[in-house]
Amino acid sequence: MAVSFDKEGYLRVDASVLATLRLLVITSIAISLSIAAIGSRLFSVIRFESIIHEFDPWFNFRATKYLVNHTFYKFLNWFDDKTWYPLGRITGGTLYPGLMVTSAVISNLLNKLSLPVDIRNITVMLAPAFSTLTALSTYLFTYEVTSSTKTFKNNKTPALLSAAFIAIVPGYISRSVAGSYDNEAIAITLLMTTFYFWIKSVKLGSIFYASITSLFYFYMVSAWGGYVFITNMIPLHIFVLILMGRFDYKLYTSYCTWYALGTLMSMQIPFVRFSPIKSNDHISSFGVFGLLQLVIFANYFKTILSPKLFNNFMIAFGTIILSLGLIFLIFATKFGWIAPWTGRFYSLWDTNYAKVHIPIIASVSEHQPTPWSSFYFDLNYLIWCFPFGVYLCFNDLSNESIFVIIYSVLGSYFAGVMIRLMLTLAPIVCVCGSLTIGKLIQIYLDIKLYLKEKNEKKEDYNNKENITNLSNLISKLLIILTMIFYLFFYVQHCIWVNSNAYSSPSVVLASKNRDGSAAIIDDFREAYYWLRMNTEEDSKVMAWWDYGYQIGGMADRTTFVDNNTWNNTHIATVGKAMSVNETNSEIVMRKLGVDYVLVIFGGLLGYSGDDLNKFLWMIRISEGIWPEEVNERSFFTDKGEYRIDELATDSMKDSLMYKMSYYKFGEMFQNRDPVDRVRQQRLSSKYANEIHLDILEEVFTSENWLVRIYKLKEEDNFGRSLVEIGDKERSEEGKSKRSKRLQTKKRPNLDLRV
Amino acid sequence: MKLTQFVNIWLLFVTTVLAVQPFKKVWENTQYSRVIDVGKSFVKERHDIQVTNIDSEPAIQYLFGLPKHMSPDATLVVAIYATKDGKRALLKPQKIPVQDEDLTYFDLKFPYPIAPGSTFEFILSFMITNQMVPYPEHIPMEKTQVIKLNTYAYPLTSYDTISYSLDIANTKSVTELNLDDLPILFEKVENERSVSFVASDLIEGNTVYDFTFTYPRNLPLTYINYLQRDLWVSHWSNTLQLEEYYELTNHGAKLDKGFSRSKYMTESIANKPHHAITALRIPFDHSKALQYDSIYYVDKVGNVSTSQYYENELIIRPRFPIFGGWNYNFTIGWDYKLDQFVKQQDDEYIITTKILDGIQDSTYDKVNFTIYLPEGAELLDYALPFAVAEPTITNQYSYLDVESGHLKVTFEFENLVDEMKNLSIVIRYKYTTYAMLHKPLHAAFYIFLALMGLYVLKKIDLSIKPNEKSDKIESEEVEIIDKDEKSEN
Repeated sequence: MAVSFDKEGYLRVDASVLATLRLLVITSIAISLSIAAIGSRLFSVIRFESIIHEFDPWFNFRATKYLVNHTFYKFLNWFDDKTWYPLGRITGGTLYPGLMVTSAVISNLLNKLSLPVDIRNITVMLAPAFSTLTALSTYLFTYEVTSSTKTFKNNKTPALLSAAFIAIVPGYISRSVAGSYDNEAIAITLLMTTFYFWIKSVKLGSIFYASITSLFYFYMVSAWGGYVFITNMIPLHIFVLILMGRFDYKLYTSYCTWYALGTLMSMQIPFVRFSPIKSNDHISSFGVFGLLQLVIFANYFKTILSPKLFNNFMIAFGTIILSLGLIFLIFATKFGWIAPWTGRFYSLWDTNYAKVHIPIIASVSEHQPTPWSSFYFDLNYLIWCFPFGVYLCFNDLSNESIFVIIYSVLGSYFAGVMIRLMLTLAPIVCVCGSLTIGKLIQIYLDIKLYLKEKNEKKEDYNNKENITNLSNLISKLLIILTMIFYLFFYVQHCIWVNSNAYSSPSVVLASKNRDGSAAIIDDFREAYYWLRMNTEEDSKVMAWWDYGYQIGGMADRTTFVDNNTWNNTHIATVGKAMSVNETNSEIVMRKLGVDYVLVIFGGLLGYSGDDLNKFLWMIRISEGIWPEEVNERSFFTDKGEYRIDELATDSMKDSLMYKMSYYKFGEMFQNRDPVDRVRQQRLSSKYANEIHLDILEEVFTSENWLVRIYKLKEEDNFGRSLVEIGDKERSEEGKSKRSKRLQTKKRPNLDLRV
Repeated sequence: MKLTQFVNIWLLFVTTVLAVQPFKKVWENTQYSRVIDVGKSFVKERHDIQVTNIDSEPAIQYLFGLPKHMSPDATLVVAIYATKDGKRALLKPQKIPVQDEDLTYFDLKFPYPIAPGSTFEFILSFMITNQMVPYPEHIPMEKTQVIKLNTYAYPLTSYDTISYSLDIANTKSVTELNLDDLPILFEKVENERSVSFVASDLIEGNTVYDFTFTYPRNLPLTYINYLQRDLWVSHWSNTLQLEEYYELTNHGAKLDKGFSRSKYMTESIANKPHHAITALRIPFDHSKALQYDSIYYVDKVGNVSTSQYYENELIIRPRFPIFGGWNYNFTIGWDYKLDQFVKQQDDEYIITTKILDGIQDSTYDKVNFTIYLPEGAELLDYALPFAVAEPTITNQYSYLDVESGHLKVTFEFENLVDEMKNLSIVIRYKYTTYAMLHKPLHAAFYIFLALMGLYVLKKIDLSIKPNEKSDKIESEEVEIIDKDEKSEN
C-alpha cells in the first residue's frame, strides 16, 4: 500500500510515493522557472517584434545566415568582401563560431523534424531558450556546492533559489533578452555548466567529468572570447588549493585531463589557434599545469627523502625553476614567441589606461568602469546577500566553496572594471545570494523543526515555554515576512528593469504620440532599407563603425569600418574624413572609394546617441594617427565648450560631420531659429540656412531626421573642384538675392504705432 | 512520321492563305469611336465600331492591328457585342502570324456571317501597360508630373473609316506634340473630363501614323516587377492563408536632385496627391470574410508598423516615400476561412480564388501564382479565364509534412493590371480522408517513438562504478526519505 493510515491514525506514505512527489514538485518548479525566464525576456518581442537587437547581434545574424546557406567549411573559410572595404575581413577565421553553429544545428534539426522555422526566429529566441538552461546549470552548480557542506547537506533549497534568481536577474537578462543574439547569450550557460562539471570532477577526481568539463570548455571557447575567464579561474582554483596544502591526486587527475584536452580542443577554433600557448591570457593555466607536475614530483621526493634533505632540495629546486621560468618569459616576450601584453590586458588593471592610450576601446560605452548604482540596478538586493553568502563559504571551506570564493573575488573585481563584465558576476551573486537566503530559510522557516516541536509540545504544557515560543514565533514571522517582502520586491524590480531598461531593440525606438498612445520610431530601418532598395548593389557606404554591422545586416551594402574594430588605422581614416573640411575630406573619400555617407543626427528628435555626440571619439581616434591634421582642442571653444551654434569653432563648422548633420536643418523651421534638441543650442535661422555642402548631395533623410544619407558627387567634367563650383554658385545666388532685397526695401514702411 | 510532316505543311499552307486573303477590303468602318482612358497608370482603350459589309458575299472575319511595340504589353484584348436578346457576349480575338514591320494583327470572328450591305456593331476593348512615360523624366519634387503617351492616330485596319473620333478620357488638358504632321486633320474639343479629336475626313485603310500627346498626372506609376502570390490550403485548420511578396517600382518622374526631407516636410507632400507613392491601397473582396487580425505587413528588415485595415481595404504605407525610379520590396499576408472558397463532394474539392488582390492602380509584370495543397492531395483539373502555360507541379516540404510535402501548383502570369482582380482561378483536387489522417497519425507515432526511446535510454546503465556502491546510494536516499517521513509523523 502506497498510502495508508496506521493504528494510531497517522497518515503513512510509502517512500516511493514521496520520491515521486518530490520529483514532481521539483519538475514543476523547473518548468515555472523556465516560463519565468523566457517570459521576462519577451518584452521586446511583444512590444516591438521578433527582431535582432543592437549592433553585434546583426553581425552574428548575418554570419548565421551565411552558415545556413553554405557549408560549415565554407563558413570557416569565409572571406567577407562586404566589410572593411577595400581590405575585407577574414570573417571565418576571426569569429567565435559557437553561436552560429548552435543556431544552425537547431535550424537543421527542426527542419529534419519538418518544422521549417525561420532562422531569424531561431536566432531571436536562442537567448531566452539558453537562459532556462542557465537556470538548470546554476541549480546543479549550487547543489554541487551545497551538498558537500554540512549546513546544506541534502538540502535543495539554495540550489532551487539560485536557479530562480539567475532566471530573472537583470544583470544576466541585459544580455539575453529575445533578439539579443550575442555570444554572451549562450556563454553564461556554458560558463556555469563548465564550472559545474569542474567542481564535480575535482570532487570525484574523475577523468570522465574532467573530460566533460573540457568538452564544455571547448564549446565555451568556440562561443565567446570571455572563455579566458574559465582559463584563469580553474588554474587559480587549483593554485589556491595547492597553497592551502590540499593537493591530492583528484586535483591532479582532473586538472591535467582538463588542461590537456581543453587546450588541444580550443586550438581547433581558427580564431584561437596557438594563443593558448602564446598569449598572456593563458599563461596562468600553463604555469599551473607545470606547477602540478612539480608538486607531484616534490611529493614523490617527500616520500623518499629525509625532511631536512627535502627542505634543502626544495629550496634549490624552487630557485632554479623560478629563475628559469622568468628568463624564459622575458626572452619569449622579447623575441615575440608569446604575444606582448595587450592593451585590453592593461585596461583590466588600470581603468584609465584605455582612455589615454587606446581611445577605440574606451569609446565603447560597455567598456566603461561600472558605476556603483548599477550593482544594485542589475542585482537588486542580492548584492547585500552576496557577502554573507561568501562568508558562509568561508565557514565551510570545502574545495567547492573555495571555488565559489575565488569566483566571487575575481567576478567582483572585473565587474568593477568594466560594465559589461557585470554579466560574469551575476551568476555567482545568485549562487551566494541563494546560500544566504537558504540559510535564513533553514533557520527561520524549517517546517520539520516546527513539526518536531509540535510533537514534543503535546506532552509538555509548560506556560513559560509557551511565552518563549510566542516571542520565538513573532521574531521568526518578522524575519520571514521581511524576507518574503524582499523576494517579492526582487521579482518586481527585475521585471521592471527588464521591461524598461533592457528590452529596447535600439534599432526601433519607442515613443509616444501627442495623445499618449504608443508610437514607434523606425528611422534606422527606413534608411537602411532605402539603401538596400535604391542603391547599386556594390555601393560602398561610409559611416562611423557603430553602424557597420547594421548596414551589413539590414542594408546589405559594403561598409568601410564596423564593430569588429580590428584595424584602428582604417577607423581613424573614416574619422578623419568626418572631421576635416570638405576639400580634405573629398581627397580621403575618393581614395577610399566612398559612394554614400551615412550619419546619425538626433538634433530634431532629441536622440542623444547621435554622431555629433560621438564626434569627439572620431576626432580622438583620428588624432592618434594624424595629430597634425586633426586636433581635439580646436573643436572646443576658448572657454572649453562643445558648441555647435554660431559660436562653434571654425574646425567644427568646417568639419564634414557638422555640415552633414545641419545641412538644410534650418529649412525645416522656415523662418524661426532652429534648435538642436540634443545639445540644447539654438542656431540663428540666417546662420543655419548658410550651412552648405558642396562635395556631397543629400539623397535621403529619414522621417525624423535620425539617419541622413549623402552621395559623394561625381567629379567635375572640367576638373574644377566641387567646393569652388559651390562657392561660385553661392556668390551668384547671393547677388541676385541682394538685388531682390534692395527692391523690397523700397516699399513704404506701414508699421502701425499705437 | 511522314503523315505528321505532311499535315504540318498543309496547316502552314492553310494558315498562310487565311492570313493573306482577308486583307481584301470586305468591310467599311462606318462609325469608329475610340476612347483612350488615361485615368490609371496603364492605358485602357475602348473602340466602339460599326462595320458594314461592302463585299458581294457574307463575311465573318474582321482584322485589326496593334503597333508591334505595344502588342506584348496589350492585355485582355476582347470584343463585346450585343446579342439579339439584349445581352452582352464576349468574343476573343486571336493573334495571327502575319509578318509585318509595324503591326501585329488580330483576327476577330463574328458570331455569325454578316450579309453584304448589313452592319454589325461591336466594342473592342483592351489595356496596354508600360505606355506612360514621364515627360520630362527628371523633375523637382514639388512640380507636377507630366506624362507622355505615344499611341497611334487612326484605326489600325485595312478597311476605310468613314467617321472617326478619338477621345482621351479622364484628363482635362492634353498637349499634342505632333498634330501638325498628321495627314488627316483632327478637330480638338475640350470637355469637362475628356478631350476629343474628331477626324475631318474619311480615313483610308492602312493609314498608320503615330500620335503623341502629353497631359498632367500627378500620381505615381505603380509598377510591380514581380509578385509571388502564395495560397496555403489547410483543411485541418480550415484556413486559406495568403502571402504576397511584391517587388515594386515607381515608374513616375524621377527627382532632378537628391531627396530633400526638409522640402518634403515643409511642402507637406505626403498629404496631397503626388507622383511619389506614399501609400498603397488594396481593396479586398467584399464577399469574403477576412480574418483581419491575421494581416501582416513586413519587408526584408522586419515588420512595418504603418498599415491600416479599414472597411475591407488594406492601406499600407511603405517605409519611405517611393519617388520615380525608386524600388520597394515587401510582403503582406492574411487569412481567410477556407470553407468560403471550397466546395466538397466526397473526396473531391473545388477551390475558387481570385488571381489577384490588386494594389489599386498598378501594373504587374510577372506574377507567380502558387497554390499549396495539403500533403497527399492530387490535382485533377484547373480552369483559368485566359490561356497560360501549363502549371508546374512540384512538392514543397513544410510544417509537419511526413512524406513528400505539400503539393505545389504554380502558374505564371504576365502583364496583368489591378483591374483583373475579379478574374478567378478554379482548381479541382482530390484529398482523401486517409491522406488527411496520415499526418497526425505519423506525428503521434514519432512522439510515441521518442517517449519509448527515452524510456529505453533511462533503462540503460552506463556507469562504470561497481554495483554495490550505487545500491548504497539508493539505500541512503531511501533512508533520507524515511527520515522525512518520521519527522512528519
